[in-house]
Amino acid sequence: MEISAPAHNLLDAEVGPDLPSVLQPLPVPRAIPPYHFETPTKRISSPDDIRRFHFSAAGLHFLGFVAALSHSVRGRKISDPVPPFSQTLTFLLSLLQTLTSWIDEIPPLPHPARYGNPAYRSWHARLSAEAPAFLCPILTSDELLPAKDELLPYLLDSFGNAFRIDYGTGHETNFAAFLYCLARLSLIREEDYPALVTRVFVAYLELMRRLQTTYSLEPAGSHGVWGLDDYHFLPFILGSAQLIDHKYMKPKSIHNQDILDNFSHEYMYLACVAFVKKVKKGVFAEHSPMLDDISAVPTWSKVNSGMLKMYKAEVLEKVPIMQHFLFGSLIKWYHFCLSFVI
Amino acid sequence: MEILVEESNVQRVDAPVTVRYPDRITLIRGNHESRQITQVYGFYDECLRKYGSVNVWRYCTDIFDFLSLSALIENKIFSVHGGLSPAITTLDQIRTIDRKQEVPHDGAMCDLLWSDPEDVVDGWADDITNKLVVELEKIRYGLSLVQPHLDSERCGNVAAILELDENLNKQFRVFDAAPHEARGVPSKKPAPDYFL
Repeated sequence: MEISAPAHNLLDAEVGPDLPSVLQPLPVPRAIPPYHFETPTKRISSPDDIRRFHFSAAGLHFLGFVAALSHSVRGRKISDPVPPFSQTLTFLLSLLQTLTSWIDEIPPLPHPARYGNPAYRSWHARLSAEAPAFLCPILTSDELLPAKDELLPYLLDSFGNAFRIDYGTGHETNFAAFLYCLARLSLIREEDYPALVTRVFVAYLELMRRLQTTYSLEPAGSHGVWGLDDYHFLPFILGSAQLIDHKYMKPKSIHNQDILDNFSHEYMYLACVAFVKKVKKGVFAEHSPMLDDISAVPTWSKVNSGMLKMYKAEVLEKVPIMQHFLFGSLIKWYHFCLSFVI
Repeated sequence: MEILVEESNVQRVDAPVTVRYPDRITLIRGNHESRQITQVYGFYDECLRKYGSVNVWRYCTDIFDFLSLSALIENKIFSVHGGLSPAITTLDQIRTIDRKQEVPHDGAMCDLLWSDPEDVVDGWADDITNKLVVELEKIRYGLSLVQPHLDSERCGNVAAILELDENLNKQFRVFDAAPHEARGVPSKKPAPDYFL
């Protein structure tokens, strides 16, 4: 029987009356053999299930992983040197580059509607067909090979939905879950985190932007002007961490077009704002009021901690998103949990 | 609410409808006039952020339940937000629907609000339905003239109105967004509580 630890003894003591405490990085618990891999399945269908997830070890550690990735790139530019790539990182980069190259081989079809170019389905079908072969080189031992069946669904759901031709923060969360599973298997280690963010995740973002624009992916579950962004959330967390303690760039600097033009290639947050300004028409304050309001926050540190809290509340605690989240042996579902204070 | 309760599922409308006759404006329900969809696409968040509670949202979605499902203009033009349904072959069938509920996930009421016109129409062979199909085809042809202008947000901010005169002649009016100078700057709100 698994007993999950309660939330409060692991989190920062700084708790307000209504707001969650500051979310802390956590080390990923290593999965040790003998492994019992399984094809992951959906488990969440109600707010009670959401609570169960967030009070479980899986929920705490997944969020702790995201916070750890954020922490690993504090004050770090995209081009800052990183240690030589591990084998896993090399394979992940190669995978993302290959997926990107397919876009040139599968051009969009003539299509009258605003969203949803059907050529995306061909791109996605190719992903489904070739992904198993991509995973094999990452799984470096006989013991790890069966992990393929558990990892594949997370990877396949990281790039959007082929039937609806859409993409949203749920798919992005699946990619994070995929990386989390690799970390649980010790295929990604903490020393890899900076490169994982500044090389692998940045390549993932570039791939997604190309897919979004080439195939007109519909924003899945976008809250329109009442959400942060039509497609993404993680680059705002990771990107704000990059800018913490920057000597002269403040949150309000996103309104400076010169800064966006010259530093988007180094800072994910700026690249996100630049992309939004490129694809949307009209005044920034009108089409992206959330980002505009957040630009008034005094420091990047506050933006970063706010983004983590907002990610937990607006993505990981929403049934329409989390009902698609998959649970297996690496991200474990607990049928019940006992909370107790140590 | 009292006014909407009295309306039929197929609301009769006389042409022309203009703002000179404000008591003759008819609203019909669309697929976004629902509790589920307004929680996904932002109306719920907007109400919560603007008014501090969900009561306004709740009252609005309660009223949506009473909106009529369709309109019949001069007994000749059938107007609906979505499209047709395999479960419906006559207008009388629409009239028998109990509409005072959240938009269901399937069935006639759902289809009327959700289904999209297709290029190939097969199956529902029936005089009246064929007439509806023919009218839909004509309106779609008209829409195809405006379609390039309607790819809003990414290509521009435009709206369109189909205007009918006393003789049911159709004309599309396309509106661009008001220029920035006329719109005014939206007031800056404080960042959400997460960032305090």
